[in-house]
Amino acid sequence: MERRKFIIFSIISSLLFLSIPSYSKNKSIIKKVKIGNKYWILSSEDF
Amino acid sequence: MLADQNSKNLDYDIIIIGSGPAGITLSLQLQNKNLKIALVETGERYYSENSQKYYKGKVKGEFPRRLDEARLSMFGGTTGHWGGSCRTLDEHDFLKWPIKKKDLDIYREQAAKIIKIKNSFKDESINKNLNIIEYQQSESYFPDDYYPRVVNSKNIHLFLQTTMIEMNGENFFTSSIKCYSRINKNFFHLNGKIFILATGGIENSRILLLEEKRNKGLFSQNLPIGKYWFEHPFKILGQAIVDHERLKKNLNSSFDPWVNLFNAGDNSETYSFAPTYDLMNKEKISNSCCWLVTHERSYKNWKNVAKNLFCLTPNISKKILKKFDKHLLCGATIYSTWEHEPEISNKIVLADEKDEFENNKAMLIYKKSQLVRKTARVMFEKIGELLIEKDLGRLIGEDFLYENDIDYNSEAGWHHMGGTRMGNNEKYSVVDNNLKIHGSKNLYVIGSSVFPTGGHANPTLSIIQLTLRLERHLFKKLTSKI
Repeated sequence: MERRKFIIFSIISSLLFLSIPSYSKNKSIIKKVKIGNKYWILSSEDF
Repeated sequence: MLADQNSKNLDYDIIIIGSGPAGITLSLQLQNKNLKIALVETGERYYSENSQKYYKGKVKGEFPRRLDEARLSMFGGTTGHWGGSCRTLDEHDFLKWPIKKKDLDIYREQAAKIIKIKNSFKDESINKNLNIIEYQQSESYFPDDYYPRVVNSKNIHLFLQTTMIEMNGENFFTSSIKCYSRINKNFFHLNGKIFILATGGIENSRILLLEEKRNKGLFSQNLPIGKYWFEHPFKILGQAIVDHERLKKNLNSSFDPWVNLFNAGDNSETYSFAPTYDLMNKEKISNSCCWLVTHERSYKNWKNVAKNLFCLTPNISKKILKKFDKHLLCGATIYSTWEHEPEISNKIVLADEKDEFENNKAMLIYKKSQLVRKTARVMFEKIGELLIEKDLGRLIGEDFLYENDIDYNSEAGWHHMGGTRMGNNEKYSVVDNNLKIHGSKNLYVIGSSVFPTGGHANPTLSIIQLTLRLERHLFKKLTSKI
């Protein structure tokens, strides 16, 4: 039983770990913002 | 040697009309094979107003230049306008060609020697969307580099200030051309076994349209002569604020020798971005190149640009302004050139106005497509994303990229392609794989007018590669019959 728990825990941790990079990647969204007659290409983190 | 223009009815193995890069290369290659060659040129060795008047014509639509400004009637042809930029066509530029990149690549080393450049055109992958690509810069100037070799060759007769008026022949066989000499003010004929039209990306179409109108049966009727014409639009897409030290560390600027052409100063760097084939497919865009050129000198102006951003994005603006004070940032400009897809409505036709020989002048009808604008926009955004991803800077784009109702002028007009395109089907092409006009037994066309599509690369290197391929074909053909 303990062994099974450990395996499930390992799988879940690995999945969580693997999902971190894609989460970070999506955090910064590219935005096109018009200021005057120009369009800036900015990151959501710039605001 | 310079031809004796008093002689009449001279006989040649090969008559080449036009002494641009193709005509010069072909004559110099063939003279080594002991063939007798006539090279006929309307212009003089160098630029002259007298010769340029033969290139006057009409423009209808969005082409940004007069026809007698966009091309040069002189020895070396329109390479006289050439800034020297060299790049090979990409593998995917050949998808609509009847030959493949490898069919031209076997002549690249030789072509590179002719225009005195290194035969190196690397692509360095940056991410799934963009490559940084390598250019070479030619210092070659044909009137200085090749005029002495042509006039010292006993097998080449160079006819300067001589205009071809019309072609003669029958049953799909061209036998002679009628010429006018401005030196002697007389008409004369040149007889030949093979005729090569090498008069550039506008004049090649005009001459064939005139011959089609005369209907002497020199080649198939109803070929799409003059149609599917295109050029390379060129435009500033916007500016950038960049961290030049991080740029140097992250991206390769050693691939591009263009900095001085953009007049950005000695300490500037140029980064040449091209789309990957995956990006072209995914976004359905054409090929293109965007140059990010840094301007390290103009801190004050660029700091003012950054201030515009302050009210909207104080977080990044504070960082940017601090970095400007420490001279860690600089401004940059994004220049771009694009492939223009061939469209049947973009074409060379005969204008109503005629020249002194009663031949119609050329008229160019041209409109930029929406795909050109879309390609520019996608490339601009992908570079913007790259700068954000690697924390290298931010981009500021011109309004025409996003607003379709805003008109914009291309600043190009120098690369004239299509009009006598290469292909297997007479409905969509004018010349075959060997550059012989469909139906003709001995009339060929060479130059960028035979390109079915043009990628984004300056056409000179590809023209010379195609010329070397044509030379091999002609030599085989002549030696099997002489």
